[in-house]
Amino acid sequence: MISRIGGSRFDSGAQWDASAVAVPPASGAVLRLGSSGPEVVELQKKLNGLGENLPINGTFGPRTQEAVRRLQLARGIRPANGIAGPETAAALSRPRADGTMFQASSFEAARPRTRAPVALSVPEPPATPARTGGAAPNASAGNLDDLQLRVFGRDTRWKSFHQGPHFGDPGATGAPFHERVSQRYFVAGGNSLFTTRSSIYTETHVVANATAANLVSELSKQTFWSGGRVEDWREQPDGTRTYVLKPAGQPGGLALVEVHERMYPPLQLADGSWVLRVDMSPREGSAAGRAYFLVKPRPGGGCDVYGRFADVDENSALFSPEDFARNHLLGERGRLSEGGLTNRLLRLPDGTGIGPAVQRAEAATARQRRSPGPSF
Amino acid sequence: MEIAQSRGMTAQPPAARKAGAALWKLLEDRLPSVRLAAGFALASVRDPALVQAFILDLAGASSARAARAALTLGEAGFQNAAPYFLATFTRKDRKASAAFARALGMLAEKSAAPVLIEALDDDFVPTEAAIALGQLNEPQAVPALVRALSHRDESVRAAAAYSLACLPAPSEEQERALRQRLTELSSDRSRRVRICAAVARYEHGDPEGLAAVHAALH
Repeated sequence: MISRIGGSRFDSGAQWDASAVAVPPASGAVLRLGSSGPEVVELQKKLNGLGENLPINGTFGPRTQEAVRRLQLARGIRPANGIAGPETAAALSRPRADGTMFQASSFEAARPRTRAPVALSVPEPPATPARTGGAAPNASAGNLDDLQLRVFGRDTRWKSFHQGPHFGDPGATGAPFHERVSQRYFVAGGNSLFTTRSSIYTETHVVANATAANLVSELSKQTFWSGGRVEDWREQPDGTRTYVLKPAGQPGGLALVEVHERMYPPLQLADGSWVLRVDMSPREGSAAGRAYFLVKPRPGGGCDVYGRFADVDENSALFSPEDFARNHLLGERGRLSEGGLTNRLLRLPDGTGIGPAVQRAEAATARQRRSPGPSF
Repeated sequence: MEIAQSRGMTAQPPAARKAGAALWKLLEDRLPSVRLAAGFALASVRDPALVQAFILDLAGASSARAARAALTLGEAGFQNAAPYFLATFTRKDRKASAAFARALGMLAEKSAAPVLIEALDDDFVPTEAAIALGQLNEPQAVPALVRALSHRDESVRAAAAYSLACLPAPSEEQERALRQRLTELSSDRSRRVRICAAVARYEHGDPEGLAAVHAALH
């Protein structure tokens, strides 16, 4: 039974043996039982800084392994196997509660008031009157690895659109979006629709195990175009962040050589939801495309995510944040469903709608109009 | 079942029951990756109804099934199940209890320390209890593990030595005593025990520890 679990620690005596004379790992290498060298010393120091009491001997022994495993358990890194890979290294380099999620100073400036955690041990901003500006939704919430989230669930449609480097890591290709978010959160359901007819992309997800604030934080660290290389990352005086993305590939066969993105500070609405806006264009200063994400907390924990991307006219009222939010707060329906959300999301300014639910609804209306009705 | 019911885990929505049953099935899939994915899914569960449904299912499972599930869930970090593992760690079912002990260790469930220490002292699933104690980071387990170094079964001795390598000694005095006891194991008839004891010596700062590891290896 003992040996059933992969890398049984009991068999690991043998692993460790081989390591007694282990070759020091290359810089940035995965550290595991048997590793030794200055990287292990660094690791042990960092672990001790988090409350462990390890001997600093530069050897990754059983005690270090257990300390790493405990860290992984606490930070939601799975599997918690005591092997210090990149994710664990990232968790070590990002303290839990100092709000280092945003690099931009304007985001750090405003920290939300916190209240007692509900579903997770992560504070969530209170419902406050609508406000705009550099209100970081996470600040004291720490980073993703602090959420004790488990990795599971993936929506391929979500994945296909949101591949992008890790924001705030200029020049790096980084992990694609689906690895950063979809795998980290338990995406319990969702639907999406992409139509070339309208160039509107819509997606909805129920994210079961993340607070709205933290999910917005994560979204706001992403580039929204498909995967590529971030260059010229800048924080602008108006609180927005701009960067040039040199895409590695585009969905739908587009072949842009670069995309300028402008990301606006998240806007918190009166009901505690967050709206995130990103403008994209093939040249600086215009808004050929715009994406909005509405992240709405669910009463029982987790949140709903409504996303929409479209080629837009910047002055279109349809795409103002307020209008977007109004359309999606769904007070009367409030549910993620084909009949509710999609109906509304895909109703265009000219009154036409697309999508099966809309079509069904419109057909029903048309039938009703054609029907003479009862006569008295 | 009684435990679950005594905790008020009786009424779950049908959907939760269905989901719990589906995950149960996946936990028994022939592919380890699927089993682990199901474990991750369960570990992600925040819905109390689903957790309850799952625990109820676990309560009614056979020993072998419960043992398999426990190990997978422990690996996946299903911390919601730790209280159940602890409560059902009984002397009646050795197979399931051994797995529960391992799962409690993997989940680093500190509240399990007294139960596991007792199990080690009473020679009930001693190997698993010893392994789990090393994972809890509870220095109070050190005396029990030191006693287990004299166990007749070499697996238990090796497990105890390895777990001692993972734990800090509560005091300087105990540290010295521990090193002394571990040094005595350098003449143990089992090579595995000699290696684990040497590793523990090294981890406890014995200047001769590394040489002991080399000696045990060759």
